[in-house]
Amino acid sequence: MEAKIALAGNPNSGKTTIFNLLCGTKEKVGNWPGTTVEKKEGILEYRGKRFRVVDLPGVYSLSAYSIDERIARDFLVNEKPDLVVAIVDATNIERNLFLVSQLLEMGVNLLIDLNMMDIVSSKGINIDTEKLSKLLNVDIVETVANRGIGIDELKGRIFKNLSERKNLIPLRIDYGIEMEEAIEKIETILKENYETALPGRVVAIKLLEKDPDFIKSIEGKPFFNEINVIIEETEKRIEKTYGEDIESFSIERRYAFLKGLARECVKKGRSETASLSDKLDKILLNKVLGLPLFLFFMYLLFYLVFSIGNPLADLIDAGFASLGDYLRIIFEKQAFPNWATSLLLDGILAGVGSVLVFLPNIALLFLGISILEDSGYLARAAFLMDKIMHTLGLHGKSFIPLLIGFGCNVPAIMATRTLESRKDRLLTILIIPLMSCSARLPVYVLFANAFFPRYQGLVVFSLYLIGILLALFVAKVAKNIFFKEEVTPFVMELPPYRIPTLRNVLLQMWIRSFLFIKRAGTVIASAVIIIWALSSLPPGVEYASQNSIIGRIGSILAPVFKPAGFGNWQASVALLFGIVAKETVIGTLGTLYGEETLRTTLREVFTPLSAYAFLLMTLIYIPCIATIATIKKETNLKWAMVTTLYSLVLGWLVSVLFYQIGKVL
Amino acid sequence: MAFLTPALEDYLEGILILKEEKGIVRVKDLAHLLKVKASSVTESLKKLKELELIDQEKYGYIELTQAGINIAKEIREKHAVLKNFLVNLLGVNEETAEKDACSMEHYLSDETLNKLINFLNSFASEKEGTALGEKLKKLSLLNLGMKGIVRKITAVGVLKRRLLDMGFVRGEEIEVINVAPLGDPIEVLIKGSQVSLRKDEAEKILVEVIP
Repeated sequence: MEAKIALAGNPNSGKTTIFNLLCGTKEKVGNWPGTTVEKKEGILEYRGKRFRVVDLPGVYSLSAYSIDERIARDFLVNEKPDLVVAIVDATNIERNLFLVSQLLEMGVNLLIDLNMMDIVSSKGINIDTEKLSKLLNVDIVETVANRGIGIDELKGRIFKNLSERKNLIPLRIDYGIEMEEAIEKIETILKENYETALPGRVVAIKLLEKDPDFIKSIEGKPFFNEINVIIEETEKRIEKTYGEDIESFSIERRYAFLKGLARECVKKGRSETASLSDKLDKILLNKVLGLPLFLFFMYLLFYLVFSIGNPLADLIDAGFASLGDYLRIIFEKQAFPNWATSLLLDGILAGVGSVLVFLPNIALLFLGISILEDSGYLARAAFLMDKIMHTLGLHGKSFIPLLIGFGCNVPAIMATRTLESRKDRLLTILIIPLMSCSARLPVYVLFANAFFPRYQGLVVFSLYLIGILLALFVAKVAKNIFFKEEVTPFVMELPPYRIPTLRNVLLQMWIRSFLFIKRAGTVIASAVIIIWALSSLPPGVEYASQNSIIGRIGSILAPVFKPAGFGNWQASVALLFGIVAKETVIGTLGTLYGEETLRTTLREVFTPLSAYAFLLMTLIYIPCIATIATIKKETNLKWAMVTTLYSLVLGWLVSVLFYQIGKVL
Repeated sequence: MAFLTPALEDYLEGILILKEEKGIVRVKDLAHLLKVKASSVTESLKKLKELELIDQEKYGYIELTQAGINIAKEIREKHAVLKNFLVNLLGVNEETAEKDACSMEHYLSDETLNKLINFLNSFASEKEGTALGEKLKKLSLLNLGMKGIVRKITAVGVLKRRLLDMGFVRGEEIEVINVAPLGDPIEVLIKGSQVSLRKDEAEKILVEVIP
C-alpha cells in the first residue's frame, strides 16, 4: 500500500499550487462521495517510491458547520493519513495556525509548510522557524510555491517524515481552570466507557463546544447524562465569569495561545506602507471605477472565450465536416452499405465532433477563470457584484457563470466550481440554462427575420430578457423548495493580488478540458448516436422522415404542442433534435421543409403568434444534452433530472400561456 | 491624624456638603441635615475646634480648616464607593444603601477602600463591554477608514463560528478598508487578512470605535 498524505490548509494558502507541484498531471479530479465538493487526488513519486496525495478542501477550522470542514475532518479521522502536510500562508501565521493547532491537538503526524516566504521577506517580517518548530514540536519547511522554490526540500521532508517513526505528542493548549477541570472530568468518563478515534482530550473539548457531530456520537450512551451535566455546569461557570459561551471562549483561548506563539516567533518588520495590493484595490474596488473596470474585464473574458473560441470551434466543426465528406467518398468507393456509412459518419463521427467542438470554449474559459482566480480578482468580482446578486437570492460569485451562460451553458456550469457553498452552486446551475446561449441565437434570428422583419432586434432582445426574468423566478422558487433551511455566510477572504503563474494556469486549463471530454464527452457522444439511430430506424426509411422512429415520436408529441400553436410533427421533431444542440432546430426544419424554401414554408406553417411561442419553447425547454450531461457530472443525476423536468414543464406552460392569451387579444 | 468618633466624622462630612451646596454653613442647617438638636451641634463643634479641624466665630458661620477638608473628603469618598457597591453590585435599595454606607464608612481601612475602588473600576469597564452601551457600535455602521476593537459577536450558528474561526475574537483590532461601489458588502482588515462581509453580517459584530 502506498502511504497516504493529506494536504490541509486555509483557502488561498497556495495549497492547490503545492498539490500541482507535488503530483504534476498525475492527478484525478472527482467529487467527495455524496457531495458536490471537488476531491483531488494524485500520486507523488520520489526516489522510486509512490505516495498517494489527497488535497483536502481549503478550510479555516475543523468545526462541523460547513460541508468542506466536515469532509476534511472525516477524512482525517476515518482515513487516518500517514502524514498531513499543513500549508501555511507565512504572511499571516496567526490566523493560519488556527487550523494547524487543531490538527496538532488531534495528534496527527504533521509537517508544516510555510509558504509565500518571498512575500514575508519583502514585507520585512522575520520568522524564527526553528523556534516555532520547537515550540509546536513539529517539522517545518519553507517554500515559495508559485516559483517552485523549496519543493524538492518539501518532497525530501515528506519522505523523511514518513520513513521515521516519531513519538507524537498532541499539542496542549491551556483553556483556563474552568474548562480544564471539565475537560479532565469528561476525559476520565470517556476513557472508562468509550473508545474514541481521536485523543480523549479533543473529544472532550469538542463536546464542551457542543459540536453537533460529537454530541450525536455519544447521545443515548449510558454516560451521556453525566457528561451533559458537566457541560451545562461548565457553560454556566464560563458564562458567569467571562460573559461568553464555551465555544467562543475556547476559540478565544486558542487565539490567545497563537498570539503568544506569534509574539515569540514572528518579528514584524518596518511599519508597512500601503502594499501594492492595497493600491490596486483603491483602483479596482473604487466607487466610480470599480464597476466599469469589472465590466471591462468581463468583456475581455467573454471575448476570450467566445470571440476567440468560436472561430476555433467552427474550425473543428468544419474539420469534422470535411473529414466526413472525405470519408463518405472513400466509403462509397469501397461500396460500404448505406446504413454503415451513415452509422460511422452521421452517428459516431458526428458524436465525437459534437464533443470536441466545445473544447476551444472550455479551454479558453478555464484559461480566463484561472487567471482571474489566481490573480485574486475573482474574489473582488464577487465583492463588487454581491449586492445585486444577493438581492436576487444568489451569491456575488454567481455572476460570472451566468454571464458565461450567454455564450454556452456547458462551460458556464463548469464555472460554478468557484462557488463554495452547495446551495449557491446548485441554484446557479439550475438557472444557467435560462441564459440564452449562442446556439439559440440562430433560431431566434431565423424566426424573427421570417415573421417580424421590422422588429428583429426587439424580438431577439425580448427573448434574452424573458430568460433572465424566468431565471429570477426559478431561483426564488427553487430556493424555497430545496434550500429553505440552508444559510451560508458570505464572509470571504480577499487574497492579496498575485501574478498568476503560466504553469498553474495551463495546468488548470488542461485538467478541466480533459475532464470535460472524459466525463461529459461519453454522454454527449452516445446521445448523438442514439438520435442518429432513432432517425435511421426502422431500416430503409429516409433520414428523420415521418416514418422514422423520431418522426413517429414527433407525430405522437405534436398534439401536446397544439395548445401552443405549433402542433405539427415537424416542429416536434425539430425540438427533439434541439435536445442534441439547439442550433440543430434550424437544420432539422431545413431538412424537413426543404432548405431553399424554408422561410416561405415556415410562414405557411406558423403564424407570428405561434412562431413566438415556438421561440419561447426553444429558449426554455431542456438545455441541450451537453448541458444536462455536464450538470449530471458536476452534481448528480437528481439535479440533471430536476433541470430537465422543470425546463420542459416551464417551457410548455409559458408557450401555451403566451399563445392562448395572444389568441384572445 | 487624630482619631475621630463616627459622630464627629459625620459632622465634618455634613459641613463639607453644606459648604458646597450653600456656600455658608450655619449651626441650624447642620442640625437639620444631621437630624440632631442644635445644642448637640454646638457641643460637637467645640470638640472639632479644639482639634483644629474647624474655625468658628461665636454664633457665626462654620469654616473647615485644611485638615478638616481633607478628612471630610476622605469620608465622603468612602461613602460614595460603599454606596455604589451596595446599589450597583449588590442591588441594595437607595435608601438602605445610604444609611448603611453612613455606618460603614467610619470603619473602612484605606487598604480595603483602594481594593474596593479597583474592583468597582474594573467592573465598570467590564459592564460597558457587555452592555450595549453607547460606546459599542455595529461594525456595519462604521465608515470607510474607521477602526475599532471587536467587543462582541451577536451572530449565531454557522456565521458565528465562521467569524470566530477567521479571527473575529474579542479584543481584536478591526478596520474598514473598503466599501463596495454599491454600498454592500464591506471589506475589513482583521488579524492581517482582508475579509469581505455583507452588511447584515457586519451588523452582528459589535465594536468599540477607536480613533
